[in-house]
Amino acid sequence: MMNKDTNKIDPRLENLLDELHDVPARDPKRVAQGRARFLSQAVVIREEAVSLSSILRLREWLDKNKPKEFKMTTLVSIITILGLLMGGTGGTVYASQDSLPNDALYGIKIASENFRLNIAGDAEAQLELALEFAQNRSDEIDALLEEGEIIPEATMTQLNNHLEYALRLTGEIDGEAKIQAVNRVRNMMQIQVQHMTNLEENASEEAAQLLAQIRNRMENQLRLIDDGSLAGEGLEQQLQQGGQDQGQGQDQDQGQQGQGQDQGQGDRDQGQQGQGQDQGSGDGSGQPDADAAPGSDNEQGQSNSNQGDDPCAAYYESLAQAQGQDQSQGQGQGKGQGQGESQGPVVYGLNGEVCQPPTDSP
Amino acid sequence: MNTETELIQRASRLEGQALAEIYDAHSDAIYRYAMRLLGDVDVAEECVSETFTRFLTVLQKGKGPREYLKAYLFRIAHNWVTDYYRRAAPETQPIDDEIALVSDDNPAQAAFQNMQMTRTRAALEQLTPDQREVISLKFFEGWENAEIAASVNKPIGAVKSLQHRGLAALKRILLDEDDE
Repeated sequence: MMNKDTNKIDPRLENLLDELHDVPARDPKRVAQGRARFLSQAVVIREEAVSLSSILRLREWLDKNKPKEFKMTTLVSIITILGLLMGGTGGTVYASQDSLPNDALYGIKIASENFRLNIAGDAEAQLELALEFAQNRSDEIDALLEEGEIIPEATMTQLNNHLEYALRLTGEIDGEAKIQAVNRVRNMMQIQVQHMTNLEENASEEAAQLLAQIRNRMENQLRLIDDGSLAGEGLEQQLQQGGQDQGQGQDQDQGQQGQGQDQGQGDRDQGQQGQGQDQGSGDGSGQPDADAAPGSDNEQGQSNSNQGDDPCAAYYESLAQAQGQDQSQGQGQGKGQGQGESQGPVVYGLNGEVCQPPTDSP
Repeated sequence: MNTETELIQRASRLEGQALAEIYDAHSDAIYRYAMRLLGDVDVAEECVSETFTRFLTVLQKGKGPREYLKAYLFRIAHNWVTDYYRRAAPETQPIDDEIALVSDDNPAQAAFQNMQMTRTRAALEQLTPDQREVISLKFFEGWENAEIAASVNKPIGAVKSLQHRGLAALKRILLDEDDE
């Protein structure tokens, strides 16, 4: 009822105001909807705040930590892979699986993934791993956001590379399994496209540009799938054609971006672009082209020349060990050697670059 | 640190649990406040929604209340209602929601009561925003002058003055016409 501190109020006026006092009961359904909407808005704003803070610190993190991290993680990876080959350091590798790109153990995590991909038996097993690793990168992005940390560009690039490699692997799978494999890759790409879209909304202009480029590449791959152009051996050609088509637009932007990035990041992009030029496409897409698979003559010199201070050094070391073992068993050829072979796994260095193994014996 | 201050601090960190507590504690009162002034369920719900959205926006900017959370939320709602008055065309007061509220047994009485309520709302709309807020909080929500002072961000003496002038204006609009 009305407040009774109304000595000065005319009773007739009091009655008129009193009539407004009672209101219809609120619809519980609308209450619940309004409450849910409010709380979901809070979540979006909270994520936006985290994302903004992350992006703002992106360059700072890259500038300050990357070179040091790079050398440390390379060394750690060499030790880890050698340890793996000798059957040790299992505990450390296990402990590294939950690490994030800004953790010391992250290099071990990437090295162990590369190792697993390298020893995977067939295309289906490799595809399984590629999807798993793509999900790992996606989870890392989410975890970094949750912790208010920066999302390294390398992590986003790796996510895309894993998916493109998985898509390429579907061309090596036959029969019913191929359809299932394509659908799995498509589903994962669709999820990640949506994920990127959500991230773009809250990212800075610079970060949103990179996210958009990666998302556009995924969308182009999705269009290739939905166009039904995945029949048999045409897949790789279609993918390459798609990459060239992209090169007319978005990938030119990406090439420009590579020039404008800080030194550490720029090195990585140059490596990827160089790979594309070796294959003659020169589109700057940075995609791990199918023809750029291990064993292609064109990339040998470049690969070898990069070994001096290369983040892929850990991978080269592990490959050398594996090839040494193969040769000693009389097999003579490691994975990816010789033209015309089925392409080997795309292996990523510590900073997201594609590692090209040498074909000559180390 | 009292409970409300702690709740506000948690809300400023956008903690979901704290925000849910605030919504549960105040959304119904804001709905009633808007409903009394506007007489439309949908518009009142929109007022609630906008009030809490604006509250989040303020928190996002690192601002917001340090105390008197209820007064702060009502101030947001009051501003929204004032904006609504400015935007809305005249004679838009719906009647359906309130016909259901008043007597079903006597349609003529219900229609008359509804007309009176619409007229009272129209009179409230003619007050200055501060007068309307003071009158609403005082006579609809039953707030003490100190609470109202916190909401309108004025001294208690100014609140009393606003109340006096607001009641006089309402009397002039609603009663003097009848007396003529």
